[in-house]
Amino acid sequence: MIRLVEAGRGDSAYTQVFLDLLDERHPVYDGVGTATVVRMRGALLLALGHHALPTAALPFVLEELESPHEAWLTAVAARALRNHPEPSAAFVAPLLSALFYIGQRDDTVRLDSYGGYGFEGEPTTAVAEVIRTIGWLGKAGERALPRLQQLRAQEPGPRTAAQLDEAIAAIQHEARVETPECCGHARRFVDAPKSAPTDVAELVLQDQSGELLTFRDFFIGRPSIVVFFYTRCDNPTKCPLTIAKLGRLQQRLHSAGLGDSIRTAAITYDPAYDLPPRLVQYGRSWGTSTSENHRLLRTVGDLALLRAFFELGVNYGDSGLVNRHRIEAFVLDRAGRIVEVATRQQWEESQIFEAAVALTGEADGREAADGQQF
Amino acid sequence: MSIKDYRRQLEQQVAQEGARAAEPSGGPQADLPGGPGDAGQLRSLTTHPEASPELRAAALGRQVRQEDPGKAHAAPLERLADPHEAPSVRLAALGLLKLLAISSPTFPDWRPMFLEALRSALSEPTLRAAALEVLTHEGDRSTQEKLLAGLRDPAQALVPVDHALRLLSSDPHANVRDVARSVAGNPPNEAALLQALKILASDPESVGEFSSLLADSSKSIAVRKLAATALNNLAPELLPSAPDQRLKAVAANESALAVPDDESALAKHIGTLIRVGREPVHR
Repeated sequence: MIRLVEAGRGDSAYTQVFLDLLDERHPVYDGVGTATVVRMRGALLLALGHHALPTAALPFVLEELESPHEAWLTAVAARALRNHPEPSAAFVAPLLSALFYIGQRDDTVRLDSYGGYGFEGEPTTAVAEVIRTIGWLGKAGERALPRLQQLRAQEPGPRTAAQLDEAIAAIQHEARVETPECCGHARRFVDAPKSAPTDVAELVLQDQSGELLTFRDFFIGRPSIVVFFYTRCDNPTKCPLTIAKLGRLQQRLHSAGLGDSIRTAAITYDPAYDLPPRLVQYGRSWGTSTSENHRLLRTVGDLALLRAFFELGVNYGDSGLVNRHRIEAFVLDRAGRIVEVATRQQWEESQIFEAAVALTGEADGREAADGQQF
Repeated sequence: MSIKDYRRQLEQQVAQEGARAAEPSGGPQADLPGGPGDAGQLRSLTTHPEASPELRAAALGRQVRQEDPGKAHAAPLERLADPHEAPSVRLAALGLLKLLAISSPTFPDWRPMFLEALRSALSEPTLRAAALEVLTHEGDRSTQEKLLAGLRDPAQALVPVDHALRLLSSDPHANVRDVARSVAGNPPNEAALLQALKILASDPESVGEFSSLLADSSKSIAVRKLAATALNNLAPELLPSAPDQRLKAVAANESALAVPDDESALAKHIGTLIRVGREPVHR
């Protein structure tokens, strides 16, 4: 892996190879520890952004900024983004998210060393790299100014203050005219997997109360919203946030009178550990409600079927614990088919809500009747 | 006063009391300048080449108490990061920084330097245990990997096996399960076995081993109680809901005198686990 990255660093012929290696389902992540995963992904992002960061790599870079957890990866993502040919106002929100979350977990890293470890090389920090990248945005970073000025007023300490001063000056003194948001990296649905619900129809699931049911029982008959999580996730911007957002989405459905016509499910990546009492506790902790149509689920059948059906972006270390996953939310029609998928970057509640509501119409009803025949 | 200000005031009080407590008792501190105008003297005393390490450590503690909370970390951070400083002064600095990590309003700003200083302190045996505690608590991956390397190869071990396992147990993503299994299969001592089992208590694939341990009366009561707790965590349905007659008798407080103390303790432990587990699960 290291040799491959070194050989292809900054070489566009390797771009697709590196992008493929960033897919969590790639066998390179099978059975390795979280620390190794972090190192590999950091090396890949650095290699992709060595000269000019390709637009196809933006979702991976922005993901690390929006849901930061490891100082090394955040620093790498911020550095790589500065090598994107065009600063964009669309980068502001992920960069501010990185600044907000990684501040409490910041660390000294060395971008020239594999994994950022050791005492060799030029030291930097995740926060320094993020602030520098906000400054690099120039005019395109104008929307970050109020937040930067607010942080500066809070007397954050001499190092951060100096970095903020530089970034604020860079944005304020940038003469360039702001360019429209570029590059097609706006939040949107990605292509839905082609797998059919028949593949998982008889898969046995268990809900938070211990009740056993099949995929067919819950997901056929009404449109549904599905998110994935696991209770041992240690990144507050991933699973805890996903479950909290699902809770808000449920409230929105209830307010719109759709609480019984659109179902929601949060399914764990870690079914062997996430027993029903743990699901209950986790849902309560993060504000998701449960009822007949809204459940927290684990599979007691073959997890591989579930992974294949949803094409889940998850992998596991040799301890059997998740070593990496992306954020992912799905909207299923009443035949249990996946019709919309939001992955990697944070999904917006309104985006998912509207996609699910669109499936409650009459036309979809006819499709559902077909779907129920399988 | 706002809640935020009140909290900050409390945190500063805690830090000041902590700094006072960190000063060595008796001797050296009696000679320290302590008035509000003595900050400069304290600063120079902290690094004075002819002052004893004890006196300099005490001066450091008093200096921290007198500094502005947003800047109080600077002197101890410098002492901790200096490899030529006396270990006792570095240890005192580390203790002060642990307190300041809670109370300092600028902690995020100096956290990277603190972690870096702690990593450099690992090479000093006097500081190692304290540095490891903080680094593992902060989820430092490089430290986790060093501890794992030491468990796999004793020549690289920074601390004893049970200590390393305890430090690694705080992070489920530390990738320590297989090493814990290996230790549990051939433990160097009871303490290491117990730490290994605590890690495996969150491993669904270890249910069979815990069932066997619970049923094995040749194992120590500590091991069997831990096995019961682990089973309750991983597969509560496998916890003996109707223990054998002797255990049932103890649970019912009948004929308790006829049951060995260990079995009695185990039965009570299982009884507690079952009682707590009866709390209904609501939809």
